[in-house]
Amino acid sequence: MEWIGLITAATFRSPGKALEGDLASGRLEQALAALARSRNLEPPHLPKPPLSELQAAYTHLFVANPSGLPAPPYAGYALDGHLMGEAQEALQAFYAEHGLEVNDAWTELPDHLAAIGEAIALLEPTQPEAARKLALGYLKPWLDRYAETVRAEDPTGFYGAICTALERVLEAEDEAKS
Amino acid sequence: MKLSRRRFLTLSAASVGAITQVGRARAVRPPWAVPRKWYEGEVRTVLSYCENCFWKCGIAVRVEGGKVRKIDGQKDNPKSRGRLCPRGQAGVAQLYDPDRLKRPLIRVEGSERGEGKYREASWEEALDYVAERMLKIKEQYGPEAVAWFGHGSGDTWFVEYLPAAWGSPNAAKPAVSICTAPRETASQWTFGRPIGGHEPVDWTESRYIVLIGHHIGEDTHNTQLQDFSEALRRGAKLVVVDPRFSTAASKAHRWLPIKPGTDLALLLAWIHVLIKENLYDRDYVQKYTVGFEQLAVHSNKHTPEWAEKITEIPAGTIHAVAREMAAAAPRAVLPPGRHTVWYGDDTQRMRAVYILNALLGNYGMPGGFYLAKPPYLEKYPHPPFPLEPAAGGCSGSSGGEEEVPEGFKPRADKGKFFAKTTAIQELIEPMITGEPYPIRGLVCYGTNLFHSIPNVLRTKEALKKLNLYVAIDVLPMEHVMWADVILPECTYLERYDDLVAIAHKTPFIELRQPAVEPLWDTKPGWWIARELGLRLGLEKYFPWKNIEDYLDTRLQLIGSSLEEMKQKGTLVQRGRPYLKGWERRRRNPFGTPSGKIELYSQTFAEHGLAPLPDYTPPMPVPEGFYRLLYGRSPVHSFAKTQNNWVLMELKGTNEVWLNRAEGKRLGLAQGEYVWLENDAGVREGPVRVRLTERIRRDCVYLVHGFGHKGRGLRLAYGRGASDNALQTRYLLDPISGGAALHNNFVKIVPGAPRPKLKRIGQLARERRL
Repeated sequence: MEWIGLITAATFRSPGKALEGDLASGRLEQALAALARSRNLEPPHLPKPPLSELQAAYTHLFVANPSGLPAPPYAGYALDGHLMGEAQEALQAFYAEHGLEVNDAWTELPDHLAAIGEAIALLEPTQPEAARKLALGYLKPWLDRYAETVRAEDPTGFYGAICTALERVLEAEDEAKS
Repeated sequence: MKLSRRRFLTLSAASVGAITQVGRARAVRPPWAVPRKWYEGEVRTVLSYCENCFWKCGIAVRVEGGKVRKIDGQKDNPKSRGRLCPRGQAGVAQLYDPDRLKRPLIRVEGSERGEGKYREASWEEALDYVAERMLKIKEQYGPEAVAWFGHGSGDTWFVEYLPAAWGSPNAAKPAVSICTAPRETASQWTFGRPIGGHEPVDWTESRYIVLIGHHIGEDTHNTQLQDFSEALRRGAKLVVVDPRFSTAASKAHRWLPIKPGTDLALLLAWIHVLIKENLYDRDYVQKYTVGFEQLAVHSNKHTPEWAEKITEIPAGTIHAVAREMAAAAPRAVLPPGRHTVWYGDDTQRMRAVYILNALLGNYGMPGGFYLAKPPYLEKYPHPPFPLEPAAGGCSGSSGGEEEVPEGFKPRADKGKFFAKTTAIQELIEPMITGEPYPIRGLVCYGTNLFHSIPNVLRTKEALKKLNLYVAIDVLPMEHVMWADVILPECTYLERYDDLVAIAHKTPFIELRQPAVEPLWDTKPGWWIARELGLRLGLEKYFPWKNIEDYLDTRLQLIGSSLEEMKQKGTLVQRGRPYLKGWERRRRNPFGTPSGKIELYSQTFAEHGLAPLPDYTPPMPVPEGFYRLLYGRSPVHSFAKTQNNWVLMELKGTNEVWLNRAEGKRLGLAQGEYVWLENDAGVREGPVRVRLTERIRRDCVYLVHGFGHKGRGLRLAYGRGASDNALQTRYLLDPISGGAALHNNFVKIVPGAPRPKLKRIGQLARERRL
């Protein structure tokens, strides 16, 4: 579960040098492969577009788009259908109950996927059940709602591949739970 | 290579920096269950003012748990009196609109303007990018080659403060030349006073009200509507002159369905009757006006019978209304409308409105016009700007000669019209032609370029020619997604703005303060202006470090403080609304050259303009076409609110009003979708047709603000038709610089498909906004 969090945090934040480094070094692909293998899944193929294309694709998918934002990267939005709704409120309460706090310098919303990913990664070592609830309660519904759209709209294929990989792993996780 | 989780965390994910582990965990429970009513929490009230129209009502914002939950009217605020319209209350939906601009964007290199390809940028990078290109333009062409457009309360930073410091006279607001310019210019040269943002009509004291093209109740302004309703409750008689049976007309004692474009003839006939039948207020005219003799001679020809042939209003009705207003005078009033750019002779029409009011002896009298006084408020003591702000505004200077300091060029629209303010539509052409000099850069703050300035195709052509186009906005409007750099502003609920000083019966100052922290990486306008100013080498004009410092200094200068204003929200001062109060203090309110109300304008005569208003026929309607009229919905403002789901549930589209008999002649069914096509071949729609007896047969009507083409506004997109898209022609009012927009003609083209859009209610129910 920690890797699910780490990968989500690393890939759904605004792409910069860190992601470029993780891609170029192969670390991200290796992490995805390890994660897949741990659930007996095929390692995914991860496209490696240049940073400028990743930035344009990220903006197009998650930030601003003249044709309408295809996939608002907010888990609460996927659950509630609007921002700052009950699901997001519940998430903030959940963070507080599990000793997490949203940093002041974070200029995104608390239910942004990158924040949720980071929270999952932070919770896993000491509170694995909470991490799991966060992944299945927030990350998975977002993927259920938007993964297909991301695959269709992503000109680089990178975000589509990440969504597919996370979707499969979480499905496996869910099945294992049930 | 073996993957190290720790290394991966260190290099990439950990630097997300969103979450910190701060304490011990409590029991695990499902994260989505928080059953609690917000009003049971600790509710904080923040006093501020609204931005969802220009009335600027004082608001009380209820905040709980870091979120805005509800917005009410401020009880002690003269613009709201504890009440708010739907737009004011729907501000919450705007704040949490997922379509908002979230962080600075720079157009991807190699992409075209309008293509909409962007990448995120930090504020530092975006502002450096803008400043570097602005300085290049300045070096090559001069500071005047950057134009500044602005709309809304925050525009003071971008059409007044910054351009004046930068040295560009080409700063403009659509609120002037595409709205109020004629009424303001006429008022300055008749009364020597502005009308201002809050029309100084003494509604509640009036006993006879004549509205000419004034759609009160449709263009809803909170206390104006409250006062209007109170006047009717107290028994005031109402006459509505309008080609359309408007909401106001439905309350009227008389509806005069005038032929469009002939209002001035009607006004002149009323002047004629008042003078010829000796019904005017002789003492008032003698004491307070000049030019009556010239007016009396001039009005000989304007008989009601002459006017009947032009206006299609029976001469008997014209006589009767003139006599009724005279009987009620001075508690009879013809209020100025707001959007007065109609046919091209608009300043003269507004002069006729004011002359008529003066003959009724109502200016400065109870039941007529009160004398609005601006509140006492000092400017921030920054060093003098090289230029005076040129954009004007509702109460800005609109007359007189412009003085250009050495080393600076005059406005690019200078010489096209008489008034001193800038005309926004006249700054488009220099972007294309380079005449009289090139405009190579545009900073556009909150101005919807494709829904306010006529001839959208020309505007798009101009944008393509610019070296730099910067948009500062809250939402990804279509024109915003053409910009080279997009700077996302936070909403009015998340920011401070400059103080607003309202000229009023009881003058007052309002404070805007943030109710909550800005969402995402958005910034207030003042911060953007200051940061840009510093990068442009204008440090000396920004001696203040932050807005609190700036506001507190201004307030300390008048014996108040920011702390006091944060508690009060509104600071009300004493006014002097009637002439007797001015006379008691031996003060003259009339700032005209003669010091009196000028029925005849010597200044106009000296500048080759008609010193007295006279009728000129409007452009004729071509065969097979209708004159396109437009107006407002009470639940929307301009083209700004059509992505607000609360308001869209109330009114989700517009319809084209067409006379039922015309509809029958054309074989149209009620509610059928049609195209509108203007005489230049521009097609707009599809839009539903509303067949009604409430409009004359020679015109059609649309509510403004619909027909958004930008898909980035997911609710607004594709709903209804845009009047602005069909306004490819305007006539320039040679006095005010107003762009007269009632000179566009459309035909109905049947057979348009029904747009495949989900109903707003359905979208809301699905919670998929």
